[in-house]
Amino acid sequence: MQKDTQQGLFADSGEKGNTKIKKSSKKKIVTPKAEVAESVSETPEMIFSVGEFLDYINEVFRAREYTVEGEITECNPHPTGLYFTLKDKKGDGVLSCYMNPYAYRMLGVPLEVGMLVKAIGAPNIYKPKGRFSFVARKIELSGEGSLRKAYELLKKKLEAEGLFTRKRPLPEFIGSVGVITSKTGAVIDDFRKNLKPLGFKVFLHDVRVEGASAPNQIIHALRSFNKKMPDLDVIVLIRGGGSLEDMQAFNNELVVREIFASQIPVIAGIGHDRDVPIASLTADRMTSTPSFSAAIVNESWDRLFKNLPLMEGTILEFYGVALTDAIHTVENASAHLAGVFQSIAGRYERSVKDIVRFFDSALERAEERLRRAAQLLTALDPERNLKLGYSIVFGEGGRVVRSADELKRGSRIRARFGKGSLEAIVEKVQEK
Amino acid sequence: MTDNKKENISGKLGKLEEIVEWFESQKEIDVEKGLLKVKEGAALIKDLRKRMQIVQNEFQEIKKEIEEEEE
Repeated sequence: MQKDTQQGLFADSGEKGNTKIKKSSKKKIVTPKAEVAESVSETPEMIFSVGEFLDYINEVFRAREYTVEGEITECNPHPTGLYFTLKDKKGDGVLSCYMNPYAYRMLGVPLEVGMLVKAIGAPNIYKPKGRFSFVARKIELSGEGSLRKAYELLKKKLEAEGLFTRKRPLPEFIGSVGVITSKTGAVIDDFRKNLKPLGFKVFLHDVRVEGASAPNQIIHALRSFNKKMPDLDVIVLIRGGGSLEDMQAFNNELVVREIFASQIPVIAGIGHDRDVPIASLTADRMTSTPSFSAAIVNESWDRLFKNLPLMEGTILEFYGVALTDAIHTVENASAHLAGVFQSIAGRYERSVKDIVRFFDSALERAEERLRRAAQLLTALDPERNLKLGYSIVFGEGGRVVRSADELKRGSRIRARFGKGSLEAIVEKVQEK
Repeated sequence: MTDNKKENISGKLGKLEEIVEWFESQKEIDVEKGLLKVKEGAALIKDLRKRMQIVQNEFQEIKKEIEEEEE
Protein backbone atom coordinates (compact mmCIF):
# COMPACT_ATOMS: atom_id res chain seq x y z
CA MET A 1 0.00 0.00 0.00
CA GLN A 2 1.25 3.47 -0.88
CA LYS A 3 1.86 5.81 2.04
CA ASP A 4 2.98 8.89 0.18
CA THR A 5 1.03 12.07 -0.01
CA GLN A 6 -0.64 13.27 -3.17
CA GLN A 7 2.16 15.75 -3.45
CA GLY A 8 4.57 12.80 -3.35
CA LEU A 9 2.72 11.01 -6.08
CA PHE A 10 3.02 13.96 -8.42
CA ALA A 11 6.48 15.04 -7.37
CA ASP A 12 9.19 15.19 -9.99
CA SER A 13 11.74 12.52 -9.21
CA GLY A 14 14.42 14.73 -10.78
CA GLU A 15 16.49 12.11 -12.62
CA LYS A 16 19.53 14.22 -13.20
CA GLY A 17 21.65 11.47 -14.66
CA ASN A 18 19.52 10.85 -17.76
CA THR A 19 21.38 12.20 -20.81
CA LYS A 20 19.54 10.54 -23.69
CA ILE A 21 17.01 13.29 -24.09
CA LYS A 22 17.97 16.58 -25.53
CA LYS A 23 17.59 19.60 -23.29
CA SER A 24 14.99 21.01 -25.64
CA SER A 25 12.79 17.93 -25.43
CA LYS A 26 13.18 17.87 -21.64
CA LYS A 27 11.79 21.33 -21.51
CA LYS A 28 8.84 20.24 -23.61
CA ILE A 29 7.90 17.58 -21.10
CA VAL A 30 6.96 20.20 -18.55
CA THR A 31 5.10 22.39 -21.05
CA PRO A 32 1.26 22.33 -21.25
CA LYS A 33 -0.25 19.11 -22.49
CA ALA A 34 -1.08 20.23 -26.01
CA GLU A 35 2.46 21.32 -26.59
CA VAL A 36 3.77 18.08 -25.17
CA ALA A 37 1.65 16.03 -27.51
CA GLU A 38 2.80 18.17 -30.41
CA SER A 39 6.45 17.82 -29.47
CA VAL A 40 6.11 14.02 -29.24
CA SER A 41 4.55 13.76 -32.67
CA GLU A 42 7.23 16.03 -34.09
CA THR A 43 10.08 14.03 -32.55
CA PRO A 44 9.28 10.32 -32.98
CA GLU A 45 12.88 9.38 -32.36
CA MET A 46 12.73 10.85 -28.78
CA ILE A 47 13.69 8.46 -26.05
CA PHE A 48 12.29 8.98 -22.52
CA SER A 49 13.90 8.10 -19.33
CA VAL A 50 11.55 6.11 -17.07
CA GLY A 51 10.92 9.10 -14.85
CA GLU A 52 10.30 11.39 -17.81
CA PHE A 53 7.95 8.90 -19.35
CA LEU A 54 5.99 8.60 -16.12
CA ASP A 55 5.85 12.38 -15.84
CA TYR A 56 4.59 12.54 -19.39
CA ILE A 57 1.99 9.86 -18.81
CA ASN A 58 0.84 11.53 -15.60
CA GLU A 59 0.46 14.80 -17.48
CA VAL A 60 -1.68 13.08 -20.04
CA PHE A 61 -3.74 11.41 -17.32
CA ARG A 62 -4.34 14.73 -15.62
CA ALA A 63 -5.62 16.29 -18.80
CA ARG A 64 -9.17 15.36 -17.82
CA GLU A 65 -11.26 14.02 -14.96
CA TYR A 66 -12.85 10.60 -14.82
CA THR A 67 -15.67 9.22 -12.74
CA VAL A 68 -15.32 5.62 -11.68
CA GLU A 69 -18.07 3.78 -9.83
CA GLY A 70 -17.34 0.76 -7.72
CA GLU A 71 -17.77 -0.90 -4.35
CA ILE A 72 -15.22 -0.21 -1.65
CA THR A 73 -13.42 -3.46 -0.82
CA GLU A 74 -10.60 -1.96 1.21
CA CYS A 75 -10.61 1.30 3.12
CA ASN A 76 -7.64 2.58 5.12
CA PRO A 77 -7.69 6.11 6.47
CA HIS A 78 -4.17 7.32 7.26
CA PRO A 79 -2.67 10.69 8.27
CA THR A 80 -1.22 10.96 4.75
CA GLY A 81 -4.59 10.33 3.10
CA LEU A 82 -7.24 7.74 2.42
CA TYR A 83 -6.17 4.57 0.66
CA PHE A 84 -8.99 2.48 -0.70
CA THR A 85 -9.78 -0.09 -3.34
CA LEU A 86 -12.75 -0.10 -5.69
CA LYS A 87 -14.07 -3.22 -7.27
CA ASP A 88 -16.84 -3.91 -9.70
CA LYS A 89 -19.80 -5.77 -8.21
CA LYS A 90 -19.76 -8.07 -11.18
CA GLY A 91 -16.54 -8.88 -12.94
CA ASP A 92 -13.00 -8.76 -11.67
CA GLY A 93 -11.89 -5.11 -12.11
CA VAL A 94 -9.98 -3.73 -9.11
CA LEU A 95 -8.69 -0.18 -8.79
CA SER A 96 -6.34 1.15 -6.11
CA CYS A 97 -7.35 4.65 -5.13
CA TYR A 98 -5.97 7.48 -3.06
CA MET A 99 -7.45 10.67 -1.69
CA ASN A 100 -5.38 13.41 -0.10
CA PRO A 101 -6.03 14.13 3.59
CA TYR A 102 -7.58 17.58 2.99
CA ALA A 103 -10.01 16.28 0.36
CA TYR A 104 -10.84 13.35 2.63
CA ARG A 105 -11.45 15.69 5.58
CA MET A 106 -13.67 17.86 3.40
CA LEU A 107 -15.68 14.85 2.27
CA GLY A 108 -17.82 14.97 5.38
CA VAL A 109 -19.17 11.49 4.74
CA PRO A 110 -17.88 8.37 6.47
CA LEU A 111 -16.71 5.61 4.12
CA GLU A 112 -16.86 1.92 4.82
CA VAL A 113 -16.16 -1.33 3.04
CA GLY A 114 -19.21 -2.40 1.06
CA MET A 115 -20.33 1.09 0.07
CA LEU A 116 -20.94 1.83 -3.58
CA VAL A 117 -19.22 5.09 -4.48
CA LYS A 118 -18.32 7.25 -7.41
CA ALA A 119 -14.70 8.38 -7.33
CA ILE A 120 -14.03 11.51 -9.34
CA GLY A 121 -10.43 12.29 -10.26
CA ALA A 122 -7.59 11.17 -12.48
CA PRO A 123 -5.14 8.24 -12.65
CA ASN A 124 -1.53 8.58 -11.64
CA ILE A 125 1.57 6.40 -11.65
CA TYR A 126 3.64 6.62 -8.50
CA LYS A 127 7.12 6.97 -9.85
CA PRO A 128 9.24 5.40 -7.09
CA LYS A 129 7.20 2.18 -7.25
CA GLY A 130 5.76 2.43 -10.71
CA ARG A 131 2.38 1.71 -9.21
CA PHE A 132 -0.79 2.77 -10.92
CA SER A 133 -3.53 4.31 -8.79
CA PHE A 134 -6.56 6.51 -9.12
CA VAL A 135 -6.30 9.84 -7.29
CA ALA A 136 -9.80 10.80 -6.23
CA ARG A 137 -10.48 14.49 -5.83
CA LYS A 138 -14.04 13.83 -4.76
CA ILE A 139 -16.11 10.83 -3.73
CA GLU A 140 -19.87 10.60 -3.94
CA LEU A 141 -21.96 7.91 -2.38
CA SER A 142 -24.04 6.00 -4.80
CA GLY A 143 -27.07 3.91 -4.13
CA GLU A 144 -29.59 4.02 -1.33
CA GLY A 145 -27.77 1.37 0.71
CA SER A 146 -24.51 3.33 0.85
CA LEU A 147 -26.29 6.56 1.65
CA ARG A 148 -28.25 4.97 4.46
CA LYS A 149 -25.19 3.30 5.85
CA ALA A 150 -23.24 6.59 5.80
CA TYR A 151 -26.21 8.36 7.36
CA GLU A 152 -26.46 5.85 10.19
CA LEU A 153 -22.71 5.89 10.83
CA LEU A 154 -22.52 9.66 11.02
CA LYS A 155 -25.66 9.94 13.10
CA LYS A 156 -24.32 7.44 15.61
CA LYS A 157 -20.94 9.15 15.79
CA LEU A 158 -22.28 12.67 16.27
CA GLU A 159 -24.97 11.55 18.68
CA ALA A 160 -22.23 10.02 20.83
CA GLU A 161 -20.42 13.35 20.76
CA GLY A 162 -23.52 15.10 22.05
CA LEU A 163 -24.18 17.29 19.02
CA PHE A 164 -27.91 16.65 19.11
CA THR A 165 -28.57 17.55 22.73
CA ARG A 166 -27.48 21.21 22.81
CA LYS A 167 -30.56 23.31 22.11
CA ARG A 168 -30.19 27.04 22.64
CA PRO A 169 -33.28 29.14 23.23
CA LEU A 170 -34.16 31.44 20.36
CA PRO A 171 -34.16 35.15 21.17
CA GLU A 172 -37.43 36.89 21.90
CA PHE A 173 -38.77 39.37 19.35
CA ILE A 174 -36.61 38.20 16.44
CA GLY A 175 -35.83 41.09 14.14
CA SER A 176 -33.06 39.99 11.83
CA VAL A 177 -32.93 36.65 10.06
CA GLY A 178 -30.19 35.11 7.93
CA VAL A 179 -31.65 32.64 5.46
CA ILE A 180 -29.53 30.02 3.75
CA THR A 181 -31.21 28.39 0.78
CA SER A 182 -31.48 28.58 -2.98
CA LYS A 183 -32.89 31.87 -4.19
CA THR A 184 -34.71 30.06 -6.97
CA GLY A 185 -37.55 27.71 -6.24
CA ALA A 186 -40.61 27.63 -4.05
CA VAL A 187 -38.80 27.28 -0.72
CA ILE A 188 -37.77 30.87 -0.21
CA ASP A 189 -41.19 32.10 -1.42
CA ASP A 190 -42.89 29.76 1.01
CA PHE A 191 -40.77 31.09 3.85
CA ARG A 192 -41.39 34.73 2.89
CA LYS A 193 -45.13 34.24 2.52
CA ASN A 194 -45.42 32.71 5.96
CA LEU A 195 -43.39 35.35 7.72
CA LYS A 196 -45.74 37.83 9.40
CA PRO A 197 -45.19 41.46 8.40
CA LEU A 198 -43.43 42.52 11.59
CA GLY A 199 -40.57 44.45 10.05
CA PHE A 200 -38.18 41.50 9.87
CA LYS A 201 -34.86 42.14 8.17
CA VAL A 202 -34.18 39.05 6.11
CA PHE A 203 -30.77 38.46 4.55
CA LEU A 204 -30.65 35.70 1.97
CA HIS A 205 -27.49 33.75 1.27
CA ASP A 206 -28.05 31.98 -2.01
CA VAL A 207 -26.54 28.48 -2.02
CA ARG A 208 -26.88 25.21 -3.87
CA VAL A 209 -28.88 22.86 -1.65
CA GLU A 210 -27.90 19.66 -3.42
CA GLY A 211 -25.03 18.38 -5.48
CA ALA A 212 -21.31 18.27 -4.85
CA SER A 213 -20.85 22.00 -4.30
CA ALA A 214 -23.72 22.30 -1.80
CA PRO A 215 -21.81 21.42 1.41
CA ASN A 216 -19.07 23.95 0.79
CA GLN A 217 -21.53 26.69 -0.08
CA ILE A 218 -23.64 26.02 3.00
CA ILE A 219 -20.56 25.99 5.22
CA HIS A 220 -19.40 29.22 3.66
CA ALA A 221 -22.80 30.87 4.18
CA LEU A 222 -22.87 29.83 7.86
CA ARG A 223 -19.37 31.20 8.39
CA SER A 224 -20.14 34.36 6.51
CA PHE A 225 -23.21 35.15 8.61
CA ASN A 226 -21.32 34.45 11.83
CA LYS A 227 -18.34 36.53 10.80
CA LYS A 228 -19.95 39.42 8.90
CA MET A 229 -23.29 39.68 10.65
CA PRO A 230 -22.83 38.38 14.20
CA ASP A 231 -25.81 40.43 15.41
CA LEU A 232 -28.30 38.35 13.46
CA ASP A 233 -30.95 36.95 15.76
CA VAL A 234 -31.25 33.64 14.00
CA ILE A 235 -30.08 31.68 10.96
CA VAL A 236 -32.66 29.69 9.04
CA LEU A 237 -31.41 26.83 6.89
CA ILE A 238 -34.14 25.60 4.58
CA ARG A 239 -34.80 23.35 1.61
CA GLY A 240 -37.67 21.29 0.30
CA GLY A 241 -38.04 17.55 0.63
CA GLY A 242 -36.08 15.00 -1.35
CA SER A 243 -34.47 11.59 -1.34
CA LEU A 244 -31.56 10.63 0.87
CA GLU A 245 -29.32 11.27 -2.09
CA ASP A 246 -30.69 14.79 -2.56
CA MET A 247 -30.14 15.45 1.14
CA GLN A 248 -26.48 14.55 1.21
CA ALA A 249 -25.39 18.09 1.93
CA PHE A 250 -27.51 18.03 5.10
CA ASN A 251 -26.02 14.70 6.19
CA ASN A 252 -22.52 15.96 5.71
CA GLU A 253 -20.30 15.96 8.78
CA LEU A 254 -18.65 19.28 7.95
CA VAL A 255 -21.97 21.02 7.42
CA VAL A 256 -23.31 19.55 10.63
CA ARG A 257 -20.25 20.64 12.62
CA GLU A 258 -20.51 24.13 11.16
CA ILE A 259 -24.12 24.34 12.35
CA PHE A 260 -22.99 23.25 15.79
CA ALA A 261 -20.19 25.82 15.74
CA SER A 262 -22.51 28.70 14.78
CA GLN A 263 -22.67 31.39 17.45
CA ILE A 264 -26.02 32.44 16.04
CA PRO A 265 -28.87 30.01 16.84
CA VAL A 266 -29.93 27.92 13.84
CA ILE A 267 -33.40 26.84 12.78
CA ALA A 268 -33.40 23.98 10.28
CA GLY A 269 -36.43 23.68 8.03
CA ILE A 270 -35.42 20.78 5.82
CA GLY A 271 -38.04 18.59 4.23
CA HIS A 272 -37.61 14.89 4.79
CA ASP A 273 -39.42 11.63 4.63
CA ARG A 274 -38.08 8.84 6.80
CA ASP A 275 -34.62 9.94 7.85
CA VAL A 276 -34.41 13.24 9.68
CA PRO A 277 -31.41 15.10 8.22
CA ILE A 278 -28.49 15.17 10.64
CA ALA A 279 -28.27 18.93 10.11
CA SER A 280 -31.81 19.20 11.50
CA LEU A 281 -30.96 17.05 14.51
CA THR A 282 -28.05 19.38 15.29
CA ALA A 283 -29.89 22.68 14.82
CA ASP A 284 -31.34 24.54 17.81
CA ARG A 285 -34.85 24.17 16.40
CA MET A 286 -36.00 21.73 13.77
CA THR A 287 -39.00 21.76 11.47
CA SER A 288 -39.79 19.84 8.34
CA THR A 289 -40.92 22.72 6.13
CA PRO A 290 -39.89 26.28 5.36
CA SER A 291 -43.34 27.54 6.41
CA PHE A 292 -42.96 26.02 9.88
CA SER A 293 -39.56 27.72 10.11
CA ALA A 294 -41.28 31.03 9.43
CA ALA A 295 -43.85 30.15 12.08
CA ILE A 296 -41.06 29.63 14.63
CA VAL A 297 -39.67 33.07 13.80
CA ASN A 298 -43.17 34.55 14.18
CA GLU A 299 -43.61 32.72 17.50
CA SER A 300 -40.84 34.79 19.03
CA TRP A 301 -43.39 37.64 19.15
CA ASP A 302 -46.07 35.61 20.92
CA ARG A 303 -45.43 37.18 24.32
CA LEU A 304 -46.46 40.51 22.85
CA PHE A 305 -49.26 39.36 20.54
CA LYS A 306 -50.91 36.87 22.88
CA ASN A 307 -50.21 38.38 26.28
CA LEU A 308 -50.90 42.04 25.58
CA PRO A 309 -54.68 41.66 25.02
CA LEU A 310 -54.90 39.34 28.03
CA MET A 311 -53.07 41.77 30.29
CA GLU A 312 -55.16 44.67 29.02
CA GLY A 313 -58.33 42.69 29.78
CA THR A 314 -57.12 41.75 33.26
CA ILE A 315 -56.23 45.32 34.23
CA LEU A 316 -59.53 46.70 32.98
CA GLU A 317 -61.56 43.94 34.61
CA PHE A 318 -59.87 44.34 37.98
CA TYR A 319 -60.12 48.10 37.90
CA GLY A 320 -63.72 47.92 36.65
CA VAL A 321 -64.69 45.78 39.63
CA ALA A 322 -62.80 48.08 42.00
CA LEU A 323 -64.47 51.13 40.50
CA THR A 324 -67.94 49.59 40.73
CA ASP A 325 -67.26 48.71 44.35
CA ALA A 326 -66.07 52.23 45.00
CA ILE A 327 -69.17 53.71 43.38
CA HIS A 328 -71.40 51.49 45.50
CA THR A 329 -69.45 52.51 48.57
CA VAL A 330 -69.88 56.17 47.73
CA GLU A 331 -73.58 55.70 47.04
CA ASN A 332 -74.04 53.91 50.33
CA ALA A 333 -72.08 56.58 52.14
CA SER A 334 -74.17 59.29 50.45
CA ALA A 335 -77.38 57.62 51.49
CA HIS A 336 -76.13 57.32 55.03
CA LEU A 337 -74.99 60.94 55.08
CA ALA A 338 -78.32 62.07 53.70
CA GLY A 339 -80.02 60.26 56.57
CA VAL A 340 -77.72 61.87 59.07
CA PHE A 341 -78.31 65.31 57.60
CA GLN A 342 -82.06 64.82 57.63
CA SER A 343 -81.89 63.89 61.23
CA ILE A 344 -79.71 66.90 62.04
CA ALA A 345 -81.98 69.20 60.05
CA GLY A 346 -85.03 67.89 61.87
CA ARG A 347 -83.41 68.48 65.18
CA TYR A 348 -82.33 71.95 64.10
CA GLU A 349 -85.85 72.78 63.01
CA ARG A 350 -87.16 71.68 66.36
CA SER A 351 -84.51 73.70 68.14
CA VAL A 352 -85.40 76.85 66.27
CA LYS A 353 -89.05 76.47 67.21
CA ASP A 354 -88.09 76.00 70.83
CA ILE A 355 -85.88 79.05 70.73
CA VAL A 356 -88.55 81.11 69.08
CA ARG A 357 -91.03 79.92 71.58
CA PHE A 358 -88.66 80.72 74.40
CA PHE A 359 -88.02 84.18 73.05
CA ASP A 360 -91.73 84.78 72.54
CA SER A 361 -92.45 83.87 76.09
CA ALA A 362 -89.54 85.90 77.39
CA LEU A 363 -90.77 88.83 75.38
CA GLU A 364 -94.24 88.49 76.73
CA ARG A 365 -92.90 88.34 80.23
CA ALA A 366 -90.79 91.42 79.61
CA GLU A 367 -93.76 93.26 78.17
CA GLU A 368 -95.84 92.40 81.21
CA ARG A 369 -93.21 93.61 83.51
CA LEU A 370 -92.87 96.73 81.47
CA ARG A 371 -96.56 97.28 81.51
CA ARG A 372 -96.69 96.90 85.30
CA ALA A 373 -93.75 99.20 85.70
CA ALA A 374 -95.53 101.74 83.56
CA GLN A 375 -98.65 101.44 85.72
CA LEU A 376 -96.55 101.90 88.78
CA LEU A 377 -94.80 104.82 87.27
CA THR A 378 -98.10 106.38 86.31
CA ALA A 379 -99.38 106.00 89.86
CA LEU A 380 -96.34 107.71 91.22
CA ASP A 381 -96.42 110.66 88.83
CA PRO A 382 -96.63 113.99 90.95
CA GLU A 383 -98.30 115.81 88.11
CA ARG A 384 -101.14 113.28 88.27
CA ASN A 385 -101.50 113.89 92.14
CA LEU A 386 -101.49 117.66 91.64
CA LYS A 387 -104.35 117.21 89.14
CA LEU A 388 -106.21 115.15 91.77
CA GLY A 389 -106.09 118.20 94.18
CA TYR A 390 -102.91 117.63 96.03
CA SER A 391 -100.27 120.46 96.24
CA ILE A 392 -96.54 120.61 96.88
CA VAL A 393 -95.08 123.15 99.34
CA PHE A 394 -91.57 124.39 98.76
CA GLY A 395 -89.66 126.12 101.62
CA GLU A 396 -86.77 128.46 101.49
CA GLY A 397 -84.20 127.41 98.97
CA GLY A 398 -86.85 125.64 96.90
CA ARG A 399 -86.80 122.44 99.04
CA VAL A 400 -89.99 120.35 99.29
CA VAL A 401 -91.52 120.74 102.74
CA ARG A 402 -92.41 117.28 104.07
CA SER A 403 -93.10 118.22 107.73
CA ALA A 404 -94.61 121.34 109.54
CA ASP A 405 -91.70 121.55 111.94
CA GLU A 406 -89.47 122.48 108.98
CA LEU A 407 -91.30 125.84 109.09
CA LYS A 408 -91.74 128.63 111.65
CA ARG A 409 -93.87 131.73 111.89
CA GLY A 410 -92.91 134.28 109.21
CA SER A 411 -91.27 131.63 106.91
CA ARG A 412 -91.82 132.34 103.21
CA ILE A 413 -93.26 129.40 101.35
CA ARG A 414 -94.43 128.62 97.77
CA ALA A 415 -97.27 126.20 97.09
CA ARG A 416 -97.68 124.48 93.65
CA PHE A 417 -101.16 123.21 92.51
CA GLY A 418 -102.47 121.25 89.55
CA LYS A 419 -102.87 124.55 87.89
CA GLY A 420 -100.81 127.51 89.09
CA SER A 421 -98.96 128.33 92.39
CA LEU A 422 -98.88 130.91 95.20
CA GLU A 423 -96.41 132.45 97.61
CA ALA A 424 -97.33 133.04 101.32
CA ILE A 425 -95.92 133.83 104.81
CA VAL A 426 -96.54 131.30 107.63
CA GLU A 427 -98.64 132.75 110.49
CA LYS A 428 -98.88 129.74 112.78
CA VAL A 429 -97.16 126.38 112.99
CA GLN A 430 -98.86 123.36 114.54
CA GLU A 431 -96.38 120.61 115.17
CA LYS A 432 -98.11 117.26 115.33
CA MET B 1 -33.82 44.32 15.58
CA THR B 2 -31.39 46.04 17.87
CA ASP B 3 -30.99 44.87 21.43
CA ASN B 4 -32.26 48.24 22.67
CA LYS B 5 -35.56 47.89 20.84
CA LYS B 6 -35.95 44.37 22.14
CA GLU B 7 -35.21 45.44 25.69
CA ASN B 8 -37.68 48.24 25.23
CA ILE B 9 -40.46 45.85 24.24
CA SER B 10 -39.44 43.33 26.85
CA GLY B 11 -39.13 46.02 29.52
CA LYS B 12 -42.55 47.46 28.73
CA LEU B 13 -44.14 44.03 28.79
CA GLY B 14 -42.42 43.41 32.10
CA LYS B 15 -43.85 46.61 33.57
CA LEU B 16 -47.27 45.70 32.30
CA GLU B 17 -46.97 42.27 33.88
CA GLU B 18 -46.06 43.96 37.16
CA ILE B 19 -49.20 46.11 36.94
CA VAL B 20 -51.33 43.02 36.28
CA GLU B 21 -49.70 41.28 39.24
CA TRP B 22 -50.39 44.34 41.41
CA PHE B 23 -54.09 44.21 40.54
CA GLU B 24 -54.21 40.47 41.12
CA SER B 25 -52.46 40.72 44.47
CA GLN B 26 -54.62 43.45 46.02
CA LYS B 27 -57.30 42.30 48.44
CA GLU B 28 -59.03 45.60 48.08
CA ILE B 29 -57.95 47.91 45.29
CA ASP B 30 -57.34 51.52 46.18
CA VAL B 31 -59.22 53.36 43.43
CA GLU B 32 -56.78 56.29 43.34
CA LYS B 33 -53.70 54.06 43.15
CA GLY B 34 -55.53 51.78 40.75
CA LEU B 35 -56.30 54.69 38.47
CA LEU B 36 -52.61 55.62 38.37
CA LYS B 37 -51.76 52.04 37.51
CA VAL B 38 -54.43 51.94 34.79
CA LYS B 39 -53.05 55.16 33.31
CA GLU B 40 -49.51 53.77 33.35
CA GLY B 41 -50.73 50.49 31.84
CA ALA B 42 -52.69 52.31 29.13
CA ALA B 43 -49.56 54.23 28.08
CA LEU B 44 -47.57 50.99 27.91
CA ILE B 45 -50.32 49.25 25.94
CA LYS B 46 -50.45 52.16 23.50
CA ASP B 47 -46.70 51.98 22.87
CA LEU B 48 -46.72 48.21 22.50
CA ARG B 49 -49.70 48.34 20.16
CA LYS B 50 -47.73 50.65 17.92
CA ARG B 51 -45.06 47.96 17.61
CA MET B 52 -47.73 45.39 16.81
CA GLN B 53 -48.83 47.32 13.79
CA ILE B 54 -48.06 45.74 10.43
CA VAL B 55 -44.59 46.69 9.26
CA GLN B 56 -43.28 45.54 5.92
CA ASN B 57 -40.44 43.01 6.05
CA GLU B 58 -37.19 43.87 4.32
CA PHE B 59 -35.51 41.31 2.10
CA GLN B 60 -31.96 41.60 0.95
CA GLU B 61 -29.78 39.13 -0.84
CA ILE B 62 -26.24 38.93 0.42
CA LYS B 63 -24.03 40.15 -2.39
CA LYS B 64 -21.73 37.71 -4.05
CA GLU B 65 -18.81 40.11 -3.63
CA ILE B 66 -18.85 39.46 0.09
CA GLU B 67 -18.64 35.78 -0.62
CA GLU B 68 -15.79 36.21 -3.05
CA GLU B 69 -14.00 38.53 -0.70
CA GLU B 70 -14.03 35.83 1.94
CA GLU B 71 -12.76 33.17 -0.41
